[in-house]
Amino acid sequence: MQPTRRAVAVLAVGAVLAGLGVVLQSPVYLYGAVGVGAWVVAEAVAFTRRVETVVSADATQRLAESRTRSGRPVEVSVVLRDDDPIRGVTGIELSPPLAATHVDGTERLDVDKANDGRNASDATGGSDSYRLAGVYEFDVTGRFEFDQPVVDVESQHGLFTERAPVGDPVTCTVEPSTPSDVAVGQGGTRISLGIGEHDAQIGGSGFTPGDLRKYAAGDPQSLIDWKTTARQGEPYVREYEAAGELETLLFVDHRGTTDVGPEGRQALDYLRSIALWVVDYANARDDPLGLYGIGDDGPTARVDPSSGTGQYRQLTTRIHDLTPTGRGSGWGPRLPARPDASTLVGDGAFERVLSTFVDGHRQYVERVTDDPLFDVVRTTLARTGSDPWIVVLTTDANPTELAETVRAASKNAAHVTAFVAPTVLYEPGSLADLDAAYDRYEDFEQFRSRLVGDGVDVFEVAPGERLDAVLASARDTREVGR
Amino acid sequence: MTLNGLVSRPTVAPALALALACVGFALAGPLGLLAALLVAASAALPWPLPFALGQLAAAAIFTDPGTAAPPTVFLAVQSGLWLALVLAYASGTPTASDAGMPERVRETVQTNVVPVAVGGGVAIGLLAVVTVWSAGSLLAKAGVVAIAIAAVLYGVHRYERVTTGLVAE
Repeated sequence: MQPTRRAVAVLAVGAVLAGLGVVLQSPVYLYGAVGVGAWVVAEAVAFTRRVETVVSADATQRLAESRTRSGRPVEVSVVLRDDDPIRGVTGIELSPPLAATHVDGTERLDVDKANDGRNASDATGGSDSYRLAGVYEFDVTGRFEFDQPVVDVESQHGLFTERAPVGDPVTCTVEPSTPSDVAVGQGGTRISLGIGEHDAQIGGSGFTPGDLRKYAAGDPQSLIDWKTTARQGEPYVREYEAAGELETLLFVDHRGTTDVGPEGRQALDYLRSIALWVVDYANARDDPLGLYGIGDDGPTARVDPSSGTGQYRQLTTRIHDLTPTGRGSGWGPRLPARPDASTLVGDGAFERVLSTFVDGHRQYVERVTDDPLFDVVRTTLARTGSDPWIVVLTTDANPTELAETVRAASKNAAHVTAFVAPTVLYEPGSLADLDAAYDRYEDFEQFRSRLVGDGVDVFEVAPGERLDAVLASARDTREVGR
Repeated sequence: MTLNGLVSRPTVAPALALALACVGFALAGPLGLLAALLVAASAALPWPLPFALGQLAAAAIFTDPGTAAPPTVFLAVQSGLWLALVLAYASGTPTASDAGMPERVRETVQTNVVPVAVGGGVAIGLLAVVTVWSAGSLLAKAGVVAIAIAAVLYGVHRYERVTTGLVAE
């Protein structure tokens, strides 16, 4: 029970009357002080009963889904309802955790005091029911608790207020939007996708030393130029500048063949992790990055190489929206598959020239539908003038096409890096027979090794636990054989 | 007349009680007439200001040795002021000029029975102390009033915090 300014003013009136009674030696002034004091007491008692009514009302806080993924909106709603009239409610407020970001809906419902909440815009179900719903997103994973919602209550004459928690807290479990056990490597040996300078093999020449300046708080220790520091007697850092840009073309295969594995841990989910890493990698160096999506029926999207924050954000969003096209839910508007040449019926020069292009385009689309990954990579490289770094993300479901794609790409690119998801490590039930799974994995490994060549790196992308299980079974088998 | 019936028009009930006090003021002489007009005008202010102003005026007029008003007039003024205070609270109208909503007022009166009873009990007890207790000075009486009201308010505050679970018992 918190007194408002009005309560203080009313009590001050009573105090003035009491003071006058003492000063002027008249008990009649004290009558006034007693009356004012009794008024405040009555208000306090009434307010207590009012708060009790609100707290004892049926308050329900509910999450639309108790488990969500980072970046995915989740709605939390609160309903306050009671059979008896709920009076004095001036507002209801959600109590989200600090990690939650409010993205939509109502975080606080202000009740129209003049109508005692009867016409509150978000209130439903009559005068004694209030509903409030807010939508939140989490950027971090973990278990987060929405504390009890808080109801603001005011006394009848506005002398007291209170913020009373109602209902129960609810817990939301936030899981990562991408798998957390992505194993990238070669032949079961994992590598770290760390941040580093441009690999000389990949074409860029890395960073060149720039100007020296005094050390400022927050500068990384690795930037300190120790020789200059020793000479000057105070720390100096050397700034580095990117010597050149490395154009990167990212080809993401999201055909139906990537729709393998349990929900949330499909091959495409793991490939998506790699794609996001490539975006971060390019972003850290401000390298131009392009994205090409390959669906079952051909290219689904094309974002030509460019740099800048907006470009990287757009690519990140598109990669997040990626779904296997085999499920009939490709992303983004599909490119026009077949130009309409029906109107080009004349014999004029205009019609002849255009018909040539239209016919050529039709052949391209037909080829694309046969081997979409190969054709998209080939045609994209044909348009690209520089020697880009080609990154291909796919599965081993179409080994011939993948081999042709890598071979074609290596002819026109500075470097080709393919990240391939071995389907044996994703298929549900494939690990029931570990020996058979290992045999299939070995076949994949031989295929992967054959692809590696001059200017070509091929990495496997697999669920870490399942890969470990397959490799461990092979070790066990070998030890038993000895 | 029942309490509910009396306050079925909330603007009317406290105003009628206040009018009784004003009549008492008017009977106290020319100065009382001026006080009556002042108190009548104060009906537009939020409660309990009209009551406080009425008591201020009553103290100024009836403690003046030049005013030879009979005790019944003083009683009429006090009765009117206290009745107006109770009715204004019970009917739940912040100002006497509010438009009436009979159904809501009836609900308010019913929910305000306990607060009015508690407040009335506190007031009666303190009035008894002020009028009957002759041994103490007015300063002591004022101190008793202040302490009593503060103690009751603190008690109500603790009760509210504990029963609503905001603090441990």
